[in-house]
Amino acid sequence: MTRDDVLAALHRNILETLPDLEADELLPERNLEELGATSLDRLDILFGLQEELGVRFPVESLSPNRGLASLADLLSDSSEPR
Amino acid sequence: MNSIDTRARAVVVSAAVLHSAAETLKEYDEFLRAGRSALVAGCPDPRSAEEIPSSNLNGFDVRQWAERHLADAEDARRRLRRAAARATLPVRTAACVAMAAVRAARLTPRERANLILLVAGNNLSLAHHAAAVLEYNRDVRTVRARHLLDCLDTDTVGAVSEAVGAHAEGWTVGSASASGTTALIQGVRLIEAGFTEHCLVVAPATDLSPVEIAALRLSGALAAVGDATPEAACRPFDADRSGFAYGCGAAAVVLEAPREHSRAHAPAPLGYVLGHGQYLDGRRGTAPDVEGQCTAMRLALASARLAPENIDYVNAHGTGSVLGDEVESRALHTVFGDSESPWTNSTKGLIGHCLSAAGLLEAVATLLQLNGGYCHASPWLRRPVRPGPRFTGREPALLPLRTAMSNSFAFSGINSSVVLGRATGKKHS
Repeated sequence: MTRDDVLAALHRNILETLPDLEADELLPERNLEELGATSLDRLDILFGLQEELGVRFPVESLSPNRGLASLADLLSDSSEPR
Repeated sequence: MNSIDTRARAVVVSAAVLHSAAETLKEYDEFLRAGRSALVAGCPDPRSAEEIPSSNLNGFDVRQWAERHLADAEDARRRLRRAAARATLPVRTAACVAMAAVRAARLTPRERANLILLVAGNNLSLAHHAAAVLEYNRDVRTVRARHLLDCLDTDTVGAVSEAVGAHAEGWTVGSASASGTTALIQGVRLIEAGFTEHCLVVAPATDLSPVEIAALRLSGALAAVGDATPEAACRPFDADRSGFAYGCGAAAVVLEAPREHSRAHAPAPLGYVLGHGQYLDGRRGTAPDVEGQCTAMRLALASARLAPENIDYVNAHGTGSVLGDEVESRALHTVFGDSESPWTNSTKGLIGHCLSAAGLLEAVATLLQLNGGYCHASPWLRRPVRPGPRFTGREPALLPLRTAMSNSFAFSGINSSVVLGRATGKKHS
């Protein structure tokens, strides 16, 4: 699983969870808080990612104020097989 | 009858509907005028091979609805999608009709913020509940945090208030199949009591799970397709009726306090709520009661200060159920008598029984018929259950109408009736 796989999955799960967003709004430096995700939304994005990628992430890994590119870096480092 | 609008308890400023038969008031009006059934054969209980006549909104998509109805309103589209696109079917449908009704009411941002929001119905998303439990049984990891919202009827309050910007107060009004009518009545009362100038009443589509469908089937309440075509299988007030057709639809209305001078930019009103009556049979169960139904209708007439002969048209509860239609036809006969009885039909024969949304979809149908001067046809009514009520037949009745009654009689002995008045063509004064 490469960092790009993680970023693509992150984008897909954000768009599914926040249906008012368009793909071109998911700029690398924007964070989940700016995109309008609530804490419940972040949990659903995280669980969706875990299911899609077949790995587990620490529950605090989807920080609301970290940019998407930086989140993808963090997630690809912190994943553990389940 | 010239003074009718001064008697209005509330003005119906605008309305919206959502059903497989119609997505706009114009389409709903045309559909009712045509008087054809929108029912199709469906199988909402996957364990049963037997098809039932029904209407559904399977796969209803907020994004696509917004593209069709909010093409010129980017901000409204985005708010609607944010608030509801991922929610359960009841919430999705409610947010769309609420958005359409509020936009049509042409409220200022301040008036929108001061809207009181009433959501009609209870146990709205039983299909979601059942699916979530089945998934959980299969794999506990399928649980989603958003279930916390999806499992509550009040998710509709949150989503609708976000979509339309309503802040005053919001709650659900649950009375099973009478919910649409009782919620309308509660909205009218809040206006009558002076709590608010504007009230948004929203009836989401009810989404039953296969378990409720199976139980309704077992109880003998559902019409069977059998040898008939699905559109002919639900026959309110016909001697050969076999049960009700499960319908799926949503509606919303914006109510306004009657006032001397209409506000700036107000649209021409759709009509008036003139009176309302509610009565409990005072017993548990599903059996309807002539006495209770008569009392609700008479209370509504008294509240409208009208006599039975002043009512031109009755939109009956008329589900097509074997016992229910028999009881209601006796109640109608008792209240309205033999001579000069009002034209009567049941919209459930055309759109199915939309359960907790039925009362509001039918109130809107009633206003459209009042304004259009017609009582829609009852296409499959050949031999009326009893002489007395003047049911429409295969053709609509065309005549000037002023006043109408709309009935909703639910399980648990909950009876409610409203008296509605035609829009007078001018801005209300």
